[in-house]
Amino acid sequence: MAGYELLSEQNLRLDGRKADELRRIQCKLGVFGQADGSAYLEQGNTKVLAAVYGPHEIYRHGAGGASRPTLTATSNEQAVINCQYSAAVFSSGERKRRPRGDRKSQEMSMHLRQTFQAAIKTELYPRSQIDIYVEILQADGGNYCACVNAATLALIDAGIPMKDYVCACTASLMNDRPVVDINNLESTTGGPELTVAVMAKSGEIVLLEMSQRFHVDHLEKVMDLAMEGCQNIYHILDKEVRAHVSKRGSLLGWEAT
Amino acid sequence: MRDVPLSNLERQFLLDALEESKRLDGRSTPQRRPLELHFGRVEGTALVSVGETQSDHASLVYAQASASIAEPAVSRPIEGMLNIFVTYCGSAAARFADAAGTAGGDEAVEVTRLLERCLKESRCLDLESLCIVAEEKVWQIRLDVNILSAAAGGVADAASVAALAALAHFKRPEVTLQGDQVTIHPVSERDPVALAIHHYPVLSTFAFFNRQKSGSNAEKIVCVDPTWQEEQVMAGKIVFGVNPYREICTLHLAGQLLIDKSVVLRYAHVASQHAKSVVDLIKNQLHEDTQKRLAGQTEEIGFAFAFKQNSILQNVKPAEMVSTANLEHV
Repeated sequence: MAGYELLSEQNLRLDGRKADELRRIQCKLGVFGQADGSAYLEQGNTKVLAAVYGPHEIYRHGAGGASRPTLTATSNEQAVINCQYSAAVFSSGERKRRPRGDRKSQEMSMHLRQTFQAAIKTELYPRSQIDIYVEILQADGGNYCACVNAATLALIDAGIPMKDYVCACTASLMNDRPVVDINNLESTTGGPELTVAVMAKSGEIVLLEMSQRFHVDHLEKVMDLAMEGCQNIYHILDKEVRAHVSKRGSLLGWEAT
Repeated sequence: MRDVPLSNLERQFLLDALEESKRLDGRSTPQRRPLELHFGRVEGTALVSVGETQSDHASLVYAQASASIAEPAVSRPIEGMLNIFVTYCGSAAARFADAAGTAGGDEAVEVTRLLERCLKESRCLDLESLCIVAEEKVWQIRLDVNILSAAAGGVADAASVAALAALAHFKRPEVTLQGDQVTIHPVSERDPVALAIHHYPVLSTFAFFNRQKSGSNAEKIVCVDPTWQEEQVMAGKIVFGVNPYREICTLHLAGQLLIDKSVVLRYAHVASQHAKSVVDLIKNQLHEDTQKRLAGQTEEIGFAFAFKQNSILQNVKPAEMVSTANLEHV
């Protein structure tokens, strides 16, 4: 695949986006009837389903690959957050043998749990458990980000109080220029990948991950662009939540406020 | 089995002491614990201890590198492979004592993924030089990292030093190609060859604590190289994988933090200085080890010799005058 440039001279990427353009985001809340909260989110070609069950009584059995805090965590004062990240076997280019339980999935589950432990108001539900299940239907880069965004929507749909929206975005460096929201091709063949999850209104960083290597001097501009991307995603998600609530509300006869 | 949990009083005491920039082991907040590195007799083995050696308050990590020949991955036919396996021994801590515990749970996954991102994905090892015959045979380097004791925390940092030291110390058998014929020479015939390492990324952990009196917007207290108790109480942490050239190879930040970019940048710089000193340590120890092997001093290499020096039976301290000036007279 020689002869293609990730970032051309006109500053266009392979899919025609500019360096600071996000992929198209489409999302829907309340896709499942059975789960307490659910959401479907598409970020470009990455498609994610999130389902939230809870708060409910704590039970210790966990499906393979789920991440839960160690038994020493006090559940008398806080809710226990249980997260499972699963990628469908047909989600990537080559058929995956294990949808969950392999190391990368375990790491993702752990990161998701850490993120939402910080964002959900767990002190309101002591001695309870909140389950978050995320399933990747199609993986095209930015998997963790799409999961975080979808899980935020699902938690809102479930009515679980959170301190703020959690929005996540990736950014990378091409030809010393920062680019936002990278897809699978750009992440495997291109340079380093920085993933950031923030609380939307306050800009607090909840999770920051970086892979491959780049020089410390570039870190700031890449981080800035990723956080800007998160702000844009927040606006998109918020619009969808308000539209969903007013649609549901109008069916029940509420006044749109 | 469960670990003995940290009581609320202990938590509060730790946080109160940190308000005054005091840590339980007497260190200042930017001070690291001493790191000791020993190489074993077998090439590719390294033992790292953080904290007072051979006490309850030390973390011990043992890393071993070994090589075997395998078929390369289909997507990368001219590159060798590096696989990292992290195991917590049952002796590491009470929570790992039973068979189910040695899987390690979240902790093991975190340390494994940090090491993988730091060493594998940053491509610190030259994998192309490990190719023997393209698409057929390549060297597969297996790095086993055993956490012998996790009591003192700082496991990720110690593990990265041990893993790097093991890779730097390891020598693989020499291979010669004559036309189509590949000969792999046993160690008895030809001296083994060291691995080609591009750069040395080292992990550095920083723990963040909220100030109690002021709101969460105030500047956080930052501790370098947290102990296990500090990790239980912290509000969040950053783990940097930086090499001495100030290139960030991995970055992991988790927790409920209000983090400013400038904080991240500042600690990246601190981590890079630590990386420099670690690389110097590895190179010095390697140099000493090579000298001893060349001089045929086989009695003085290996772990047994290193431990003897710390033995209670051989503790030698020069006589020191004690000042009685400040003692109260009875």
